[in-house]
Amino acid sequence: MAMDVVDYEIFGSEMQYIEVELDPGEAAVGEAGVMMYMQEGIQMDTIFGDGSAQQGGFFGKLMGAGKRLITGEGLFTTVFHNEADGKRRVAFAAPYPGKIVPMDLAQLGGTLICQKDSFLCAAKGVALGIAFQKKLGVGLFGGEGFIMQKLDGDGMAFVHAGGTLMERTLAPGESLRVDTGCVVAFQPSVDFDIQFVGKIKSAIFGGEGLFFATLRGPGKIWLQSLPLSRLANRIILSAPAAGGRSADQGSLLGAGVLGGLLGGDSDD
Amino acid sequence: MALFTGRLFGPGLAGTGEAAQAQWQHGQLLLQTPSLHLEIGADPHITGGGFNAEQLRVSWQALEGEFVFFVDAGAAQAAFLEGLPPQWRAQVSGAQRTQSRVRARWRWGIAALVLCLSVPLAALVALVVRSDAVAAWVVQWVPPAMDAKLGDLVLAQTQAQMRWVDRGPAVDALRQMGEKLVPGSPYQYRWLLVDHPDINAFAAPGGVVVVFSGLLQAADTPEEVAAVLAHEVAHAELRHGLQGMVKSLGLQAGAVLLGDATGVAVPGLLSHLLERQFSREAERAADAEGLRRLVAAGINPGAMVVFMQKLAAKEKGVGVPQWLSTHPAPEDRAAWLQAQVATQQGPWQPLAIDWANVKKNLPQRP
Repeated sequence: MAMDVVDYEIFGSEMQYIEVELDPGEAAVGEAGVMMYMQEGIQMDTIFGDGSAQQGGFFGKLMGAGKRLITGEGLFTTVFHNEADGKRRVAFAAPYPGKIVPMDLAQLGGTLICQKDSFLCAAKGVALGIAFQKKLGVGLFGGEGFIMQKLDGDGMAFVHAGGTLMERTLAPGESLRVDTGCVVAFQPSVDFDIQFVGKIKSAIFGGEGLFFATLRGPGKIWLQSLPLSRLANRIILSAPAAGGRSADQGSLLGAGVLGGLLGGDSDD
Repeated sequence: MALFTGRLFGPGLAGTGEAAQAQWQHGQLLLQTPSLHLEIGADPHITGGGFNAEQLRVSWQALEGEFVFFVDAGAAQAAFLEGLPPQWRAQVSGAQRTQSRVRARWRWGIAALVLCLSVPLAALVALVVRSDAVAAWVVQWVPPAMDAKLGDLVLAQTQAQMRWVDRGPAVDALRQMGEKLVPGSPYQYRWLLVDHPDINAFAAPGGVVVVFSGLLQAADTPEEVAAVLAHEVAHAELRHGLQGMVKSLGLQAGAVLLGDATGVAVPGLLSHLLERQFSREAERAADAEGLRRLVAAGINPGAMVVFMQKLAAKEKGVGVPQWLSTHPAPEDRAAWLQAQVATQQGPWQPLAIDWANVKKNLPQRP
């Protein structure tokens, strides 16, 4: 089917937002809750599923929505449709510090596999599907990386990577081992496997998680330096209201007076 | 031969691969991209590759380096397989075996996961549905000394919270009637009279039986009180209090397992014990056992029916005693008891208690 061609502009450096320009009649789909602003003339519509033509019929829509539920997203996506006579703009903001990555699906061969919560927005017509990591091993219990999202189509799609983005093209047979949470997206030609760390000692004391992913080329991969889960973990750990301790992490003695003194980082 | 499509990766091509058209010609695979035209090497390696090994991956070494060609799914794959030279068939079927193995392992994994998740859930449901039987089974393993300890707790709480009568003809009468009902019991029975207008009585584990003075007022004969005592003794002997505790403990453990840790364990259990929330099955069992004990003691079990009918009449009136709500409807119980009593033969020995004197000496209320 014909994809809507969108022009876009990305603003900001570490906390970015993207402005998408829609020609009359064009539309973009956004993850629910990421819209930042839109110009007059853009009609916002909440739809069940992703609005792509691949979801034919009621049952297809239901399946698509169910899959979205599994990937931890809302049942609904929002479609921004330009009903005006001229070009109009709509902006989507990244939900946490990081980079917005534009993906030209046509150039990538039509399909992209990405981390389940990294999708931001896309031209209408891009199908959002689910892709399970089926090479089990211990992957079933690997947490991140077990359920991935699949973007199908030949338009633009925008995904969000936490922290700093790393883009890398793997030559045939070349492989890279990655923390499962750091994978943002990869081409379907990349062999993606989740492996157990292997050594109990490093699994328990290494703090790197029990699993890592092996990505084997050929194909392009995108990695993020700061997965949201890692950021959230640190915030929870140091948030007193959430049961963490307010002292800085270097302090062995916690939030007490002594800890504050020894930590040397008292803020009063 | 038919053209088919795929994606080609290799030296000199874009890192993201390039769309390529392919064609079999005299047992050779010819590939064409916008920038490149090449012929597949003599010794290709065909495997299942890419994400989930879903694609057919043809790789070969050229002078410049390794090339990989992914055959598109669907019609392209069919065209590829159609023109495949015989010497490469073994490799392709190997790739297909890999693909089906990945799929099969995935299905088994999901099945195992579903099983792992559903077994505890099913066990919990079974526990809730068959909670009486499970609780009875667990209680078998609790020593009677445990009952006595729980009874002491309830006794202490009752004595602290309620005005209790420790002497007088009514207390003597209770003890006299009660002891007839509990021959050979493993428990040391304690009979307690509480000064309270409600028509109520309850038994705690380990042989603590508490009777409210309102119940004595409502009874016209000592046999009626004996009938109530028999019912309460039956609760203690059948260890219904303990079973209720085990049940609610089990349910709370289940609730905690399910992630709802709102239940506060010990105080909740104790209040449960005091509230006497026996199941209807337990009440029916206590009626039957009480009846048996009355008959064994030679006390006319007809009094049980009489008192139950009294309760039924009372319930129809305005003030329904609170404790009745957890019991089966008194009319039903009375009818059931009547049928049971009709099968019993006398002779019955009247209780040697001056009932008028007992009632006269009860604490008086304005």
